[in-house]
Amino acid sequence: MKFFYRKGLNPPLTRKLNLKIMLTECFILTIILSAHANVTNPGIVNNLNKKGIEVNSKLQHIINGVVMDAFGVPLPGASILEKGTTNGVQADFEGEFQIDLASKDAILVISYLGFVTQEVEVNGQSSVTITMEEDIANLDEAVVIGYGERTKKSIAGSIEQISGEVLENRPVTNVLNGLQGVMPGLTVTRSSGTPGGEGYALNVRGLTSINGGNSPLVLIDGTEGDLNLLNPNDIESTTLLKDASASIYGARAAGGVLLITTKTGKKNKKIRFSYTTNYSTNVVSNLTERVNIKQWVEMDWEAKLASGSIPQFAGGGTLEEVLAKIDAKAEPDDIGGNAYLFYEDVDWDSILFDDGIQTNHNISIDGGGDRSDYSTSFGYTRVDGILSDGWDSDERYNLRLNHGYDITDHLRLESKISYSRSRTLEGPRGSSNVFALRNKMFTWFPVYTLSGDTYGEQWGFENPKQWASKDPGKSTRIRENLDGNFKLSYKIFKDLKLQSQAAINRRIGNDEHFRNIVPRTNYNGTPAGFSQSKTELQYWNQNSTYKNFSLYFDYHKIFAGKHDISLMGGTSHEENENKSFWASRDNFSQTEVLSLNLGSTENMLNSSNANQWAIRSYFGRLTYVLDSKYVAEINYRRDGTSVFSPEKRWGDFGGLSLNWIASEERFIKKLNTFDFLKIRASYGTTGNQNLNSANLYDYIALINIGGVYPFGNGERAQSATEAGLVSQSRTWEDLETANLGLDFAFLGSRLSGSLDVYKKNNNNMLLGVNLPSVLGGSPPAKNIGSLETKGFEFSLKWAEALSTDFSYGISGYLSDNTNILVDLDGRDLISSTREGYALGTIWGYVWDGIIQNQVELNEYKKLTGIPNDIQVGDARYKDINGDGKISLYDDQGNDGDVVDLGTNAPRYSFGFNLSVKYKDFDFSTFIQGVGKRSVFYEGAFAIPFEQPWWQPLKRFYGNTWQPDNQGAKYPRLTTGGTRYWNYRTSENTRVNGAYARFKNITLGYSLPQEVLEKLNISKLRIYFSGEDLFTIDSMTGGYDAENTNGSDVFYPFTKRYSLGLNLTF
Amino acid sequence: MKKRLTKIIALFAVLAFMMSCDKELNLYPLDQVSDGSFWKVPSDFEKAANAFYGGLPGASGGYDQDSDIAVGGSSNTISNGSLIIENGPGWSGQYATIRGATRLIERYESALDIQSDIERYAAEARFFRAMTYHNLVSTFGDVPLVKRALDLDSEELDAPRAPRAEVVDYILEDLDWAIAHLPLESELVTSEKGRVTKGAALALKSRVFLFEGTWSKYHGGGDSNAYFSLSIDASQKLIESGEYELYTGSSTNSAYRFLFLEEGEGSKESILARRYNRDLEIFHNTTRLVMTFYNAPTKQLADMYVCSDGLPISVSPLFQGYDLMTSEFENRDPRMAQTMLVPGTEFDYLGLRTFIPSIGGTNESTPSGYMPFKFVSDNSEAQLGKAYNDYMAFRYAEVLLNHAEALYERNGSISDSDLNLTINKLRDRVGVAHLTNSLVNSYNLSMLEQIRNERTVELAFEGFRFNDLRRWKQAENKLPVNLLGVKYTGTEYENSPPNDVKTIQVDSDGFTIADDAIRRSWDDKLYLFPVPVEQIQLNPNLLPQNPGW
Repeated sequence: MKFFYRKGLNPPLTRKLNLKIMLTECFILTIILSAHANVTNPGIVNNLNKKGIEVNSKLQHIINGVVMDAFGVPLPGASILEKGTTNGVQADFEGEFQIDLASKDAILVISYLGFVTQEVEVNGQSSVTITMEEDIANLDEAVVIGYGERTKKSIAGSIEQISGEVLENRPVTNVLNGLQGVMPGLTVTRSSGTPGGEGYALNVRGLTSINGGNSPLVLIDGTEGDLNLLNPNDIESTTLLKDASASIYGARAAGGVLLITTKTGKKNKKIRFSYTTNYSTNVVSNLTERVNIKQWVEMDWEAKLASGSIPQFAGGGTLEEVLAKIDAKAEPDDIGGNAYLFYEDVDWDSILFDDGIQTNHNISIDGGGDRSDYSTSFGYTRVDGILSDGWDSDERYNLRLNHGYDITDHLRLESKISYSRSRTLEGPRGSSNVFALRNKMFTWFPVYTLSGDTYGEQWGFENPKQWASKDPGKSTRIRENLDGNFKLSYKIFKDLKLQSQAAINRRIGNDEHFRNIVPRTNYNGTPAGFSQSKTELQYWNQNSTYKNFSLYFDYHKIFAGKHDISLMGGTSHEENENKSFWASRDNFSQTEVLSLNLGSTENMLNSSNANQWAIRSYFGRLTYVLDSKYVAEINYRRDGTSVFSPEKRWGDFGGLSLNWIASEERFIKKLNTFDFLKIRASYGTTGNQNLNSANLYDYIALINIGGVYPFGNGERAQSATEAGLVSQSRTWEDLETANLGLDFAFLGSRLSGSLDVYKKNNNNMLLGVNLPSVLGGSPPAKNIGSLETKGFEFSLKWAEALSTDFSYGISGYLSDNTNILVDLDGRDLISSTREGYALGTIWGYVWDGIIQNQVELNEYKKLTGIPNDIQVGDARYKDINGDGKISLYDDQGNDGDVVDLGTNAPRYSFGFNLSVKYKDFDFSTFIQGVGKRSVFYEGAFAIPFEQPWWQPLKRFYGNTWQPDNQGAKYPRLTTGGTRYWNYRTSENTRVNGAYARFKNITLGYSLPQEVLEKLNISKLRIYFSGEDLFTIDSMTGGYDAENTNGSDVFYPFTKRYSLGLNLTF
Repeated sequence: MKKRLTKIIALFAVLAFMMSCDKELNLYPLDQVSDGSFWKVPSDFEKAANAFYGGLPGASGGYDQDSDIAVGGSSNTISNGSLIIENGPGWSGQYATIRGATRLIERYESALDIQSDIERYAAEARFFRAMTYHNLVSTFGDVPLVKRALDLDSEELDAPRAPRAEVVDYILEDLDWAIAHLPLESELVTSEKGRVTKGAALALKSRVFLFEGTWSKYHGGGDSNAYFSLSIDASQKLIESGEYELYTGSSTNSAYRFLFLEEGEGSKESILARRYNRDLEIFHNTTRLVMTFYNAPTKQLADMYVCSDGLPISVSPLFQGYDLMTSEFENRDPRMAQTMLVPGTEFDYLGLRTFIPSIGGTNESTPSGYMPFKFVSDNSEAQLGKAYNDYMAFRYAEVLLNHAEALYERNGSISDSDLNLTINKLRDRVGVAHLTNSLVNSYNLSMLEQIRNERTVELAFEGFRFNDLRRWKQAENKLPVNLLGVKYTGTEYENSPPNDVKTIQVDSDGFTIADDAIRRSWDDKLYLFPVPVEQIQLNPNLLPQNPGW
């Protein structure tokens, strides 16, 4: 507890300030709310009267004070109460207050949301400065739950909430990027570094179903929203419902619920302008490591000879001669057929890639008058990718206006309107195609021909430089979201509120894909045909309208001072209609103006798609808190969906949560150990209806019309095919979730944490039935599967302020889950979806080393099921069932020689956060990682010479078996068929994918208070930040540990260095 | 105050009412038709039949690499005997076609009001179903016989495999119905060109029953002569229909090659073709694929071409030996030079070039030393990867060859007049002396071998050879041997760069080894492919597995 005395505080300050408030409010109201003609000033005046200094003859000791946080930031609205009385005031927007006390020696109780309540002895002073300590456990913080709010202390379920600040102070351009690793239980993955095409995926607590439904339902201000286009700066808080608390969202909550609340203004708050910006350099990293020309020639020579074919450079002489030519950078050898052998290494990477740039600007204005509050923001973000030339960027604009208005004392209207627009530019085949070409292409191919064109032809190879330029064409993808969200709440009685909400979200997508003529050129400059032989323009338009109407009442009352009862109930309707259309033309006579109408009319094509779905719901929740100690909550939801047949349409879901806030018990208090201790138990059900457009009408037998077959003189005859077999009985997947949790805080709340263990059961998972192929069609999914997922989350936080100058915090979490497919309705196949095993189980042979000599070879060749051209240096797998045959199955159809190699799902996800504040400096770092993961590479990454004309990657060089390298990890090089045998999935091809990545390191400096006051601004912070700078892992060859696919076709993630500024005044 | 309260409550009541109607949950597709509203008009059946045409074999640069007459860039796992059970061919796609065809036939049977207008589509469905069952039977032997569109709980899902003969009978039933209900080629209007005709069904019947006849003759089981008769009857009817004739172009030195290129497209030799179209951007890449020499002919094929006197090279005085790159091409059946590019030929392939083979396994070199030429177009568009000419899935020449072979196999002999009706028509096209009984007798040749060789050279690289070797039970003799190329030792090749002397392997007679016998083997189990193990897993009644697997 600290006291600071402030000199020169002026007693009549309060009055002056109130006048200021009034003037500001009039101004704002006039500007922003001019549409509301019935708004009148008297309301404000009345309010001022109410708020003005109360006259009480008994009070005689006037004391002035200011309330601020550890950094000297005023805490407006802090409540100051004279202990033992009802006499209290609130701090104004500069944190200042004036109170008349009954006694000179009174004790002031100062409380503010999110801070530890303080008691201050006045001791006859006339002014006090109160520094509030942040309440680390934040038990009174309001947490958003489904259709309502609770304090953190009294929430019943396993719920995680983070504030928007987590995203604000980092150069985060995408909300999903910012959420990665910050919430225990929430996994965010990205599949590409392509600007605007990162492929983020969300998952809560592992898999729920093989049908999707594994990502949480994302609700932005209560309606389904799009995180990709949301402005991270607009977020006030993010809440994750992980257990039975999600049941209130019933049918769509199988994957948990992520509730995003956007920022609103505060009533009676001065207008505030904020500007944040940052500028980042995105540095190329994590590129696949490639062999140089010499290594390539050696590997090719070895591999080709091993398979009885001819090395590529054989025409240039013996191996020694060829290597000597490389050393001498010899002139290319013409080997006929417009093909050459080149003897120089080309540094493709420096030609293709360059550092990217990322900029971000955000302006927001918020505040509030007596009856209304507003928050408006404008954001702009631009990311330029790492291709040094060519289209590779993403740009986004965000506009938001959130406004609340008390129409009467009982009726409040809130409107939240946002518009966002993103524009992504890529080459006609996408940016990652450049990486695919680069990874496979020989390092000794020249970039340019003798005549200076991009070299475009030798054995069909395409030049990545040509595809990384602007010449081949351009794809423009525009996505626009226009979201309107209106909420009307009416206070019928003091304790009963009626709320109605209407939201309409428009999603518009507009693509233009232009393909230009792409010629190829032989090295000698002669034309070699075309990669794209004609110009082509395609337009694509999609628009969808999502509507969500809900109506519910909310009742809350405390009886007899200890029975705290909340009751909520209501209904909602959601519907979505989605339509898309595309059209194309080709053979444009010019490429200056690209518009569909300018193309040739010969090949005009067009098509359309449309679909719709709807859900009706009824829901309710009863919460009972006894004596602030015992919390019981029941929720219920009934959903009906258009996706299932009328008989199978309705589903009932519900949850029960019980809490015991043990730290409120006298006997625990006596221990003097726990500042807070809560034990939670919950059980609930949610549904999964697998809402994707491919199976919206699975109960209706449908015909697909499509395709063309050229009868006659090109008749474009369409064909009709069965869309798939149908099932009338298909219905909801029901997911049961049980959760046990513990929240605790010790040592003056400096140490806090929580532990959750959970189990989820999907008891009637929809599975595509495995039926014999003689069926001839794709069987529909039936509710026959059963999946069980178990896991835990553990988080711990230590925070301490050692002095007003120095505070620090350390927090971390660890979470894990596993699943098992309990039931798959019999039909048993060795596959990634197999009864008794985890989803995504990888099956492999048992590695038995490399055949080292002829004796071992002869012995091994006694087995069947092995390649007949197997040689010394090839792989050997165990015949584990001893039937003399290496095979998947034995003759009876039982498992043969494969074993469960686990899955590639990340295990033991962890996050670690350190933050330090010293005087005006702040430092924080954030590490995210995975404790255990198996990676099995694919394609060119998995096998050297997977195709004889793909270059082997560097991780194989020197690591393959040779007579003088018998201890090599990998079998001999060959382009023969045994290479597939040698790289069959086994323990030998497994790669340890565990990693810890420094996602963010930030060093910030805030201008000191004295300087700020002079400048008349309230906050100015500059920071330097690095994202993804270091990674600890054991991946080889330039493979990024965070990459979730095993393929080499991958736009790598970048390291980002950025400089940022936050300014508020 | 009270008034306002009433208003507000009324407002919420309206909102609640708006949400309470329940009809919104009955939603229907916006871009698909339901099966119930389909199958009403003839064009529905036509659309359903159109779906089968994608199943016709398409143009490819690599047919016959699974046999002894072609080698590719790497050794073929079927041809070299290293196929292992897990990567054997599947049958899922085949049963999908069968389901589609069966559904159409079932709908036809119940569409009484429009039946006469849709007969031909039902017949097309039967044609494709027969073709598919033939693919299955010829690959796997006994296979499940599914005669109706199954449901999820149909007992046929767990049925054992039907005996080969039973499936073949079913094929016959389909084909006879199709033959009776399909139009003649000459009856098609322009917009119908490319559809299945009576001729196509007859051609398929001739193919199926020649296959089954020889299979039962050489592998045992079944009445081979009855099958031969069915084949002969079908080819006879087709020949007598007068609907088809060989494409003769303008010259014996180009007609055969042009038949497969733009020049020969749509000729009267084509019975049923997989169609490609420029306007619709439906193209194939055959020319380019072939010319990267990934489909190199072998000496096995080269030696099968007779000399212009009609005699095999072993006996013909016209054969010029191997000393020069071009000598073996002299005085030979002109089909040889139209199937393989003669070394030294000046040919406009993206610019005028003189083609000298580079022996090897790398890009633009040929493992055998022979360069392919059949399917290679003069058209630069095709050379760049976009060819739009149709690919014949059934052509008249095959029917003539089927006819000759079936006659000989059934009767043990073939008359000169039957030879003139069949094989000698093919020889006339290219200007080679006739095959006659007296020629065979006077040189002590085998008539059967002459018929088989004629078939092999005429149909080279059209995907027949491996199946022919299987049904003749000749794979065990023809496959596990060195696949040879040009004669290297002591010939012009030896001193001709850019061949790489260090890596060219030759056999004891000096012929280039394109695929070494060391890496090749044959096991009799390969005569029938294994039933996919997954299918056995799903339905154990499919056991026993085919012999040897």
